Amino acid sequence: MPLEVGSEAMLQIQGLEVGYGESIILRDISLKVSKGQVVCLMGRNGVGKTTLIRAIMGVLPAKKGTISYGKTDITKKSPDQRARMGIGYVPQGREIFSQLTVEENIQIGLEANRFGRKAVPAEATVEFPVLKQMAKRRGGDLSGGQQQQLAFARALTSEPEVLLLDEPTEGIQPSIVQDIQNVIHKLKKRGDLAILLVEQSVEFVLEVGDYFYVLDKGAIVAEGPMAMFDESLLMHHLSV
Amino acid sequence: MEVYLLHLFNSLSLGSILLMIGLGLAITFGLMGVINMAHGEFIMVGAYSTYVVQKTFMDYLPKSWFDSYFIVSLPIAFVMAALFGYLLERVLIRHLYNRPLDSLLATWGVGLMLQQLARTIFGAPNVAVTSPAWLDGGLTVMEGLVMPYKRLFIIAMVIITLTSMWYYIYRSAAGRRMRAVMQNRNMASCMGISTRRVDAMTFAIGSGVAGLAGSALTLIGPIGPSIGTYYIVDSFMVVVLGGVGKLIGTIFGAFGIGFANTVFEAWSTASIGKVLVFLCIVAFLQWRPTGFVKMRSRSLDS
Repeated sequence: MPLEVGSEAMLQIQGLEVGYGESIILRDISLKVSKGQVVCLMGRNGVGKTTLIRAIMGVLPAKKGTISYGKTDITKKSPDQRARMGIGYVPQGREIFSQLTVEENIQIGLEANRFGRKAVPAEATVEFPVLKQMAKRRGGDLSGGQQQQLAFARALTSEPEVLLLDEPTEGIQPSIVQDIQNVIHKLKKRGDLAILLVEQSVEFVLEVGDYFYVLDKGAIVAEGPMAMFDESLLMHHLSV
Repeated sequence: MEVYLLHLFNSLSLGSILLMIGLGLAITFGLMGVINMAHGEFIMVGAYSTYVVQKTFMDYLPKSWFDSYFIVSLPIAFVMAALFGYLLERVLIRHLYNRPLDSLLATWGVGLMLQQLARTIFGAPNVAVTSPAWLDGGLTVMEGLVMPYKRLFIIAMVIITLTSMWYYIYRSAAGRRMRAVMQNRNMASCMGISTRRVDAMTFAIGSGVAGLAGSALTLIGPIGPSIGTYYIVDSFMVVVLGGVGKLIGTIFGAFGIGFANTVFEAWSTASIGKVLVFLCIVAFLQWRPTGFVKMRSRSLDS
C-alpha cells in the first residue's frame, strides 16, 4: 500500500471498474481522500478523469469495486443520496441552471445541506462578491468565469465534507483563475474538507496538492505525496 | 359598440376556458415534455368528480347546503385527477421519458381505458351537472351586453389558478427544484434533488389542474365519457402556439385562439371559423415554429 497521508479517509475507492455498455473506461481504480487534504487527479485528456468523478458522484454506475464515504458503502446509492450525505460537486463545464437566477442557483445548493439549513450560509458566497451584484440575473447570462464562481458557491452552500472539483480553471479568464485558486487554498486551510481536484495546471497542483494520482488509459499509473511528483512523470504520462 | 364589447367578452371567456384546459398541459407537456394523450381524460376525471360531489350533496345532505357543492368539488376534482396523474406517472410514464412516440401511444391507450371506465361506472349518455343558483344569471353591463356569472366565475378561476401556479413554480422551493430538474436532470440530482419524486409531483400537479378544468367545464355544458377528446386538441394547440416551456406563452396562446375564434365565427359560421383559426395557427407556426414566447439564453444550447 502507498504511504498513509492524513488520518481520516473521507472518500475511499477500491477496485473500481466503470464503463459505458460493453466498453470499459476505468479499471481497478483505488484511491483515497482524507479530511483536510487536497488530492490531485492528473492525466491527459480522455484518460477517464471526468468519468471517475462522475462515477464517484453516482452519475455513472460502478461495474465492480466499492466507493465508500466515511465508513458507509455508497456504491449503490443514487447521486441525490450521495449529495445529501455530503459530497459536493463542481462539474466540468460548470452545469449552471441557465434559466434560474443566480440567487436560485445558489439556493439549489440548500437541497443537499447536511444541517437542513433553509438559508444560504454566508461563508458559501463570501468569496464571490460578484454573485451578490448579479443575484437577479439568470445563470445563463453570466460569463464563464462567473458561472464557475457560481458553481463553487452552489456546491459550498450544501456545506459538504467531500468536494469534487473537475477542472475548475478550464476555459475561464486569467483574472478569475487566480480567484478560484485562492478559494481552493482557503478551503484547504479550513481543514474540514476532503478535496479531490482534477487539474491540468501542474504549477497550481504542485502548489496546493498533498497527494497525487496519475491516470492513463483508464488506470492509475503513478501516485504519491506531492513532493514525489517529478518531471519524468510529466514526460511519460502528462505531456501531449 | 356593444357588439364589439360582446365579442371582446366572448373571446375573453373562450380564452379563459382554453387557458384552463391548457394550463395543466403547460406543465406536463410544456415543462416535462411528456406527450400525454390521456390529458383530456384527466379533465373528464375532474368533471365526473364534480358530478359525484353534486350527487352526494343532492342525495345525502340538506338542501340548503346544495349551493356550496361547487366550491367543495374544486379541491376534490384537483385531488382525484392528481391521483390518477400520479399513478400514471409512477406506473407508466417514468419508463418512457425521452421516448415521445411510445409515451404518445401508451397514454392514448390509457385514455381509452379511462373513457371505458367512465362508461362502465356512469353509463354512456352524457350527464348534466346543475350549477349552483348563485352562478345563474349574469351581470348586465348595458343593454345587449350581459356577462353570465358562470363565465365570469371561470375567468376568476383561471386568474386564481394561474397566480397559484406562478407562485408555486417561480417562488417556492418545490418549484425551484422542479425547474432545476426540468433544465438539467443530471446536475439536479447531483445537487441532492430526488428527480423521481419531483417528476411524480410535477406530473400530478399538471394532472390536478386538468381536473380543475374539468370542474369548470361542468358549468358550461353536459359531460360525458368522451369529453376529454373534444378538448385534447385544443389544449395541445394552446401550449404549442404559446411556446413550450413558458407559462406566459400559454396565456398568449389561449387568448390568441379565443380572440381569433370569436372574430372568425362572427364573420362566418362556426365551422368555417374553426378552420380559419387552424389555418392561422399552422401559418403562424410556419413563421415562428417555437410559438409566441421563446426561451432564450446565452447558454441554452449547452
